Amino acid sequence: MHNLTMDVSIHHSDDFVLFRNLLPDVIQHLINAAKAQNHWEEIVPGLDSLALKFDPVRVSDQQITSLLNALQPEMQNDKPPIQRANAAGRRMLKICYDAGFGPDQSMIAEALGITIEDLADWHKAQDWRVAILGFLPGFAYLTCDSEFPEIPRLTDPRAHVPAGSVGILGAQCGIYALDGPGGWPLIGRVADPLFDVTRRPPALLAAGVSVEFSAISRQEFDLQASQNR
Amino acid sequence: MTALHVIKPGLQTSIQAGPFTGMRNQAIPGAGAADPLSLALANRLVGKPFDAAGLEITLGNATFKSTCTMTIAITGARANVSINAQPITQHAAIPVQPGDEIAIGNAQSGCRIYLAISRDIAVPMIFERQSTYMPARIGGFEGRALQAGDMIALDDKGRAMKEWETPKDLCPLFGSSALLRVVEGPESRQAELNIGALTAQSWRISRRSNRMGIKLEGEPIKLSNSEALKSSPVFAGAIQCPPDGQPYLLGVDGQTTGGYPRIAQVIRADRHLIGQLAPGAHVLFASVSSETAREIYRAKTRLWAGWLPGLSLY
Repeated sequence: MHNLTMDVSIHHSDDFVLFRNLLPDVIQHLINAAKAQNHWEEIVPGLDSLALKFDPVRVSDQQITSLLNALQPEMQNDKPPIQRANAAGRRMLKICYDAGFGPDQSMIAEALGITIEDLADWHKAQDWRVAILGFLPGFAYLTCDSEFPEIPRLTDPRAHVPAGSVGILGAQCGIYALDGPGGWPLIGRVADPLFDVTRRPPALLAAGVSVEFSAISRQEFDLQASQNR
Repeated sequence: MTALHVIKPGLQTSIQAGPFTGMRNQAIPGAGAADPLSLALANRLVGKPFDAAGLEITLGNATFKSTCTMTIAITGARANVSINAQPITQHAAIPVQPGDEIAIGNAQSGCRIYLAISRDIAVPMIFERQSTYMPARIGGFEGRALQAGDMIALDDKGRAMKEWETPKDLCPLFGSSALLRVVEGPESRQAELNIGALTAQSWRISRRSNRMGIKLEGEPIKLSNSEALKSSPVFAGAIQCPPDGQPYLLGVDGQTTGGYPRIAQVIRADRHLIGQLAPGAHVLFASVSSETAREIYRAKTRLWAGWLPGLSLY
């Protein structure tokens, strides 16, 4: 795991800098260090990148240079990788694999080459981790270490996918924090309140968080949903 | 009820203020006024902070009725505006009486008209703003564009207003073509001719344009590599180039991450102009260095400081 940061490059735009070719652990290091600097308008991770946006009226070119210099050590990969659980935390989500919440279960199971009965266990068994939030507020893209066949996008995307819906697309798992459109084949629905505009931060999940799914029945889901209201 | 009654909302009218900040890691874009300078100019005339909430009216053709005494100011795209069918001028503070009907005609040049009101708009704040992010139905008036029949509640307290105008030499003019300055994007080199592919021609604003983004029509740009990238942060003003070679300019409601090559970035000083690009208009791009772009932005805010103290663009 040496010299993996050799290819890290920095793109300088007029009011943001973009670090590219970063390893997930390095992104977490950089986020933590950048937050502590208190000068950035936005700190936004990508899958292998990180953008830091600034206001050129509040921050001089000279300050930008020294802020970036101070971040340089965080780009080195010679420090111990952050324990995932420590870096961004771990979150248990209650999921209901009721067929009504997972209308595409048979399609997903078929693509994976497993039976529909085994699908929930397969999904729970993966070491899911939030790669980024994107697409819609709070929408989480999750990746896992194990490889599986790519799940195709729905040929006829849905205009309305309810909040909490969990889908599998390509090699990723996606969680809708709010209602939205989309072509994600759906496997189930999460009962936890994933997004709340009155909360800071509003999204329950964040990049780097490890996610464990625990299955609940439809009755438990309905009870939880009524409590969330 | 102290309110503004929506008689006719036009194509899309929403409540917009300054942008949400620090929320892009939550996949929440800034939203806010697509042309924050025009909103600031309207707010100035009614005695409000530059980033207070006002109405953003896309392409005009909207009518409102007041239930109370207040002062209004209308800025942005040029249009015929009237109170009870009596023409009024844009860029002026105008007193309004209960029952008065405020009519805004079609935008004649530019894309968005801003209506500021001397009373505070009483919609809830999210993330310290009253802006609307319509794709996720959050903020503003029930998270959505205004509809005929909506009553926008206003604060009982009014401001004592004077009748004044924006100094003539400070009124922005919008035409059927615009010049936007750009810096290189992270993937400029994937485009044949680099950023020259963008600056070499005039681009037409497609009908497929909204607050999320603007499709640019012209000779397709050739990409040396059109493979999708790993999702990476993007900001308003980013010009992405999908495999079909027709660039897409991100607006204030644009998504926070993207996978298409970012061939250029409109500079912060010029991004407010994106909000005034109407379908059918043309846009030219000129390349500057990022150092120069920052100096332009600093100079622009200094220039405006006399009339719009504290103005910040995004």
